[in-house]
Amino acid sequence: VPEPVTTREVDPDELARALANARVSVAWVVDGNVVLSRASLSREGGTLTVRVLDAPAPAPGTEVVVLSDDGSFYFDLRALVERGAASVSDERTISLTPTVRTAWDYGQLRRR
Amino acid sequence: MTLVTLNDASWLRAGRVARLATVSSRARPALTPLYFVATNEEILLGTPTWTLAARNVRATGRATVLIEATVHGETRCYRVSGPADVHIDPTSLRHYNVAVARKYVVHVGQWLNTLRHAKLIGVRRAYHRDSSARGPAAVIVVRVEDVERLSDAR
Repeated sequence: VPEPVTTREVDPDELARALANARVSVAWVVDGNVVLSRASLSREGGTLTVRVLDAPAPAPGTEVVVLSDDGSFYFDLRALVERGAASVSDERTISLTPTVRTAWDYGQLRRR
Repeated sequence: MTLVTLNDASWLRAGRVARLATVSSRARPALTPLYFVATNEEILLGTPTWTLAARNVRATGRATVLIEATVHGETRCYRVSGPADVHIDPTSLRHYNVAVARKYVVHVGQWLNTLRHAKLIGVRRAYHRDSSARGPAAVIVVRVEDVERLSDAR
């Protein structure tokens, strides 16, 4: 019988709905250096539209990571990390269909 | 190098959660929220050695951090970048743990939050025990090389 382990992982779709008004940031790599910016985010189906607030949008096809998170105190901390290749809509806006999604919520810590 | 003014530093210290961006040895980005402590020269972020953030910093030696703080109704956001490394020595961990306790644990909001989730305290202890089994605690130290106050305009 495997030992029970503790986990903070939650369903990404459920958390995405809960984080609809969360802080959003986005990161990608240019010439080996990370670019990090605040962002705003909208979702339609499985596609994210990300408006980059503090930098020009990355080049088409660039791998980007989008972080939505909220909470300040331990059991309120929750986050959704989504990773995918950027399609560029304009100089500040990208869209992506995430290929990897990781979601956690310390308010839902449990053994499994 | 952009020097952090005393005013900037006070804003950095007021932030609650930092967003840490790192790059892997294969030039892939990573982004995670972390508790942190700021001084005039460094941003300290706690995370175990097994996490992607710690492994990336060990691999590339650099990091960028977003810190947003609201003080008296005014919100500011800073982007801080610089050389970074991972510390696991007892002195660094003790220094970080004391600073984090002062900032986060001894805070009425945290006490209330813990009371509201009292049934999870045992699970939290087990969660941190499981994490420790995967690798030791660490502190990512980002030396402040460049600081930008980001525009308030959204």
